[in-house]
This record gives sequence, structure tokens and C-alpha cells, in this order.
Amino acid sequence: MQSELDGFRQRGASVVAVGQGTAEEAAHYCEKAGAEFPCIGDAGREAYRVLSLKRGSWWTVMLRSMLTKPLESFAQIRNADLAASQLAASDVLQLGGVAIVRRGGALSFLHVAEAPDDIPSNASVFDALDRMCERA
Amino acid sequence: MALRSVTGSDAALTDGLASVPGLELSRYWQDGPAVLLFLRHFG
Repeated sequence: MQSELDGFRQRGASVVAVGQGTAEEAAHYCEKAGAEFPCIGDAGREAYRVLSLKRGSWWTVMLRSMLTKPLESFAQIRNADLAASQLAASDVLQLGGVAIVRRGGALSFLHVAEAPDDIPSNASVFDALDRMCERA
Repeated sequence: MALRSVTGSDAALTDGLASVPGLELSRYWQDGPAVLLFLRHFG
């Protein structure tokens, strides 16, 4: 995402990362990742619940990827920030999502992840932003 | 992995997002569209 930030800027879009954790943990993540966009901590996962973002099962979050993509899984484990998974507010089964909000506040596009690797490509997010602008 | 277009009452879900205490998410869609990335966790 960081590497294609210009694509979002060209479309006039703000990018915001929301994660489980406190404001301090969010700031730490942003700094560590070198993110040039805001990181917001949602320790209570209230925003996740508003959008009905899903919790996975142990099968979808851990076991399936280890069995179907073992090399990628072990690489992810090797590179993981284990401290992040041990944060008090962190639910390891929580899945992510992407929401695109139109200027002024109407939700226009939403992706609710079904698995940890179920993440829309930047190209598909750009396409959604372009479609939203065409409709405006 | 495509994003689905949101219509009808679901478009107002942002009212709920805007009211989450402490996040102040509405500031990000005041001047243009906002892309909110919900991470599994920080790390």
C-alpha cells in the first residue's frame, strides 16, 4: 500500500489504517512500517463491528494456510512481529477489510475479508475510486 | 477479492464509524474520499 500511495493521492483519496490497539501502538506501527498515512488504534474493535468485519476460525487463520501454502506461511511467521500478536487488545482471529467512503460520508465500497490473505489489490481499490468519481 | 458497491441504508454505516469514540474517522472524508484499511492486527 505504501509503495503505491501516489495512486491514492492522484485520486484525491486519504488512506487510513485502522488496527486493533491503542493510539500508542498504532503510532508505533506507523513508525516501524514507515507509513506515510495515519494509523488509528481501535482497541475495542468498535469500528470493526460497525462494518460487521468477520472473525476467522483457527482453520482459516492458521491451519489452512500452513497446509496449502507452507513456504509462504513459514516466511510470514519468520517475519512476524510477535509482540503485536500479544497485545492485550489483539484478537488473532480478527479478519480485516477495506472501506471506501465518499467525500461527505457515504460508504461507497466495502470488502469484508473471508481469510487473512483475502485482501483487495491496489488496482481494484483504484478501480473502485475511479468508478466512484465517474458516478459523482 | 473485489470490493462490493454499497447502496441503500448500508451507505449510512459511516454514521456508526464516525461515532466510535476516540477515532474521529470522519475527518478523513471531509475533503475527499477516504480509503479505510482495517488491519488484522498491528505487526
